[in-house]
Amino acid sequence: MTSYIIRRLLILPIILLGVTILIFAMLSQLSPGQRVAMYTREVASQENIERLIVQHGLDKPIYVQYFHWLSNVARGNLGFSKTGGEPVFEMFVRLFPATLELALLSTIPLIALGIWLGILAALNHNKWPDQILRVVSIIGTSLPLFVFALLLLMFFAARLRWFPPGDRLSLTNQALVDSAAWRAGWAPVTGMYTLDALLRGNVAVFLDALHHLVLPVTSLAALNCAVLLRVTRSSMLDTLRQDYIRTALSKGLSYRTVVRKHARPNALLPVVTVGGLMLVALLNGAAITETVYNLPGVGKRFVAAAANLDVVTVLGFVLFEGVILILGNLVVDILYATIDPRIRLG
Amino acid sequence: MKSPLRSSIAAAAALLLAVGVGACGDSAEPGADSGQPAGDATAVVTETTDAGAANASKVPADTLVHVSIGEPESLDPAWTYETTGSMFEMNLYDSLVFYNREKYDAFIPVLATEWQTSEDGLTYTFNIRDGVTFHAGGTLEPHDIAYSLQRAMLQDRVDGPMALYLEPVLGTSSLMGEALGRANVTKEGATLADVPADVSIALCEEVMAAVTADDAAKTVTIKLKTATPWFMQLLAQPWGGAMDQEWMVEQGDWDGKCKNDAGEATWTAWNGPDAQESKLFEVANGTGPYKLESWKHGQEIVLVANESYWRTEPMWEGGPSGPPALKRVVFQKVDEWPTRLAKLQAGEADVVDVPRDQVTAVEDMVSVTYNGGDAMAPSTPGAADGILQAFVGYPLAQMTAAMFTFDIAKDSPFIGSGQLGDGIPTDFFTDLDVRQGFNYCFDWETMIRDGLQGEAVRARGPIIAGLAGFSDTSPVYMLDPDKCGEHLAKAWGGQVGEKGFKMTLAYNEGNEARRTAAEILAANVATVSDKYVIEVQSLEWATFLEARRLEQLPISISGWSADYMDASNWVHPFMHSAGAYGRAQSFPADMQAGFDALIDQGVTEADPAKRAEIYAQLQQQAYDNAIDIFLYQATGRHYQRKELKGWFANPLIPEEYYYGLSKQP
Repeated sequence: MTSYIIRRLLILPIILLGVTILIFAMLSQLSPGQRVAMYTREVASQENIERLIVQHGLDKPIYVQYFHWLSNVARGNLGFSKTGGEPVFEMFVRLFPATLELALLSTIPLIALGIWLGILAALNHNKWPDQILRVVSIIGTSLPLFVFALLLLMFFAARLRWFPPGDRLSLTNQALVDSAAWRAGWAPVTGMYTLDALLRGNVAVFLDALHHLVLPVTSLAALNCAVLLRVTRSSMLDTLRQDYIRTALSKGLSYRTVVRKHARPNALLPVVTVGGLMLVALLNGAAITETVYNLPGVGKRFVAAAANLDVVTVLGFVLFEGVILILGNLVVDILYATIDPRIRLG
Repeated sequence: MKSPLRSSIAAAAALLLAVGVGACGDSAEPGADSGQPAGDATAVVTETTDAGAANASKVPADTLVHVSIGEPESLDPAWTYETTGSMFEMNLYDSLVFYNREKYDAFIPVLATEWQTSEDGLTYTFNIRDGVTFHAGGTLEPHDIAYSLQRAMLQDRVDGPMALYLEPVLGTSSLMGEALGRANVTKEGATLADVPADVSIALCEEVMAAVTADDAAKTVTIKLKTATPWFMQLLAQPWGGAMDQEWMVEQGDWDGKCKNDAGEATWTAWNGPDAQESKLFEVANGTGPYKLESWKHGQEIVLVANESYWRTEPMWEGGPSGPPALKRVVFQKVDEWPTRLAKLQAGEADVVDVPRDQVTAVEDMVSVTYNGGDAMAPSTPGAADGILQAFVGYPLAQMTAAMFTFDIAKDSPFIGSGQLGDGIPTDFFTDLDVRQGFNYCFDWETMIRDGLQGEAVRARGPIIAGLAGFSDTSPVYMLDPDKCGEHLAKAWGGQVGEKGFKMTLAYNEGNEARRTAAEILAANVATVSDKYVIEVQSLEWATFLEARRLEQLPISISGWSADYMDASNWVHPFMHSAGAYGRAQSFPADMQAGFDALIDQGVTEADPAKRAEIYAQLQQQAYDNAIDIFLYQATGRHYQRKELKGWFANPLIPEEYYYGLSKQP
């Protein structure tokens, strides 16, 4: 297992290098005149457009631009994000906690509910709970996230005013969290407001942060939960049809014991893979949710950078998120091998 | 057995309730439960207006939440050439003078207590105010103002605002261009580094000599090369906002010198920076009514009141004086309209940017509509329980036109085969009948009604309403399909009528008004003859810009916003050979020479009557030659919560002048 992990980690820089080369290769399809659009908001004069192209080195061969970028990265400089208005590294460090908090809090109900409802549906195969959950899961998987998120926003935030229509904290608490007083003391600042509030014993900020997260977490968890429900259900149904289940039942074990000790652990193997990948996907930026609820996370910013051909920012995010993706997959593989003794990594 | 389904739902509901009830107070005092003294945090008053009502604001009474799109590119006043950045800089910095409320051509003293202009209009002398301090504590002196103006001009970044100062002061639109020209450097991609030091230093010294300070006499003098009637309008903008020279040098900004002891040009190190290279990119130390507290890029900017603001008399009758009434301004960047709307409905925003095509979504929320640019305008009552005030119909200094390219690039993908019939030749628009025919095929009424919800007036030429040379009785083209058909039929010696044509009319994606304009023209031309085909295509901004740069667009639909309110700022971009649009249109040489001569004459003419005559001639020539389809001058609309008072529209003040605002329940 150790050699497997080391091999996977060693391959990481090669994959990242490959991805960045691919992005630069795609970039070569865009003319300097298209890429300079990032540096001007209105229709600049021809003379100024040419000057901007020269000033930003967009007229240089693409491989020269690539090696220039690479040499800066080697010196620890990921460049300045024109669309973000700050250095790429600082931007990621500032934004990632919001995404991480959202992803982690979404994963808890997502996995708990998805698995539990999937098993419930399988155990009640073709009975009314199963029928209802099938309909719910079909609606969940077919309903676009942005529609669902907007519906929640307009109904629960705008109309009923039960929850805030975006942001991470109310104005007063945000001012507190941004103040020097918040950073003082022994507790570290993680940037995840719920955790920071707990570390400082500040119940008001904790509840306020949680209050702001209810709608985004519900949006993310509900729809992803529908996918996990379907995976769990079909996996559980497959497992319940296996010979060893019938054997266990014929030996006189109670149905409940068979389900809990034999069927459920085996049925959850594919669920671990799907659930793990879902978490990794959420960490890579829940762009739509962050956009609808105006949450300052990495997904929202990545979309803005890509839409504006902000290559430096896109490359920086690709590096960060490539690391997350590969490490996330590694953890899933290890988890998979741990819970399934038939699998050996190596 | 207890149903696991039921218990889970109950648990989820309980959690939801706990979070909702626990946090809906929305007013956790800074420092509460944290074990930290509240005074250490940035405390704000948490009083709300009309608390308990269904439509109550959740924003504290001394705080303004402005929810809008976009954010500044920089907070360096000399770098900024866009409205959001200018809005902040107007609140963070003071200039010599400011606009007298809604009047763009009348000024009130700010850092200058009084001023004199020489008879030839070339020398401006300002007496500088005493007792003004910078946010970081320094005291304002005349040399700070001279330094700020010199620094701004020497910085002169590409595509920035400094051409507006450099033209009257130095007679050039670009410092680098001037230096390269004087040094006769012609190589492609040349920069100031290629200019000999003596040339470069001489140029810097000219800038320094143009703006001088006398700290003992408390004066600043500005000398122009050309009399510039609109120069005071430029000084009222934040581009020359006062900075503390000593503080700036401490930060590592320009040291106020042109060269070092070795005789090398040193000022060039601060010329043409990228936004983030400026020391003032995200910090501010002005003398303005607000101080910058924080800027979370892509998210929000927070300003706090400058409690030691120097002003003791109202800016104008009923205007602000002393420290700002609103102690805290939170500007949130929320690009998505549904989210902005939800914030408004939830009572979490005071001012919201409402897209023109989404006006109906807030109609029921409007309690009063003012038909003008302030609360003194005639008003119409709205919903009794409305939470908003609306201001509509005030003129904006913006105009949109569809501009014909007289010499389209041969490789343009928008001209079909490049021949009449299944395309257009590259010089298609050199024929006056084609241009007039297109003008007669445009329907302004439909455009303004359907594309702009009635919130615009038709443009009558390059000069907008209210400026010299504009007349609401000047001739204009009106929709007339018969005349459109006649002109097109005889264009190109009758070949257009015989063979027809096909071309693509592109607009930048997302601009719905421009899409409507393109579709109206295409549809009307098609009704004249089925041989006339205009295909409408949307292009991503980057692709649109590139196509325009390469002169591939047969017709380019673009808008122009005023830098200052004078007819010269309108005829130059649209008609001059060096204008932002005119240059790309490649007018025939004799036509262009006529335009240039008149435009240059208009700039140097001192007599207002003669200037008006010159601009009226240019307006007429734009019509006679049908150089563009001048589309519309949009009127503005502004929404804010009804508690907010003091807002006014001035075409040269972008979005909000926060200092003028207050909340009154």
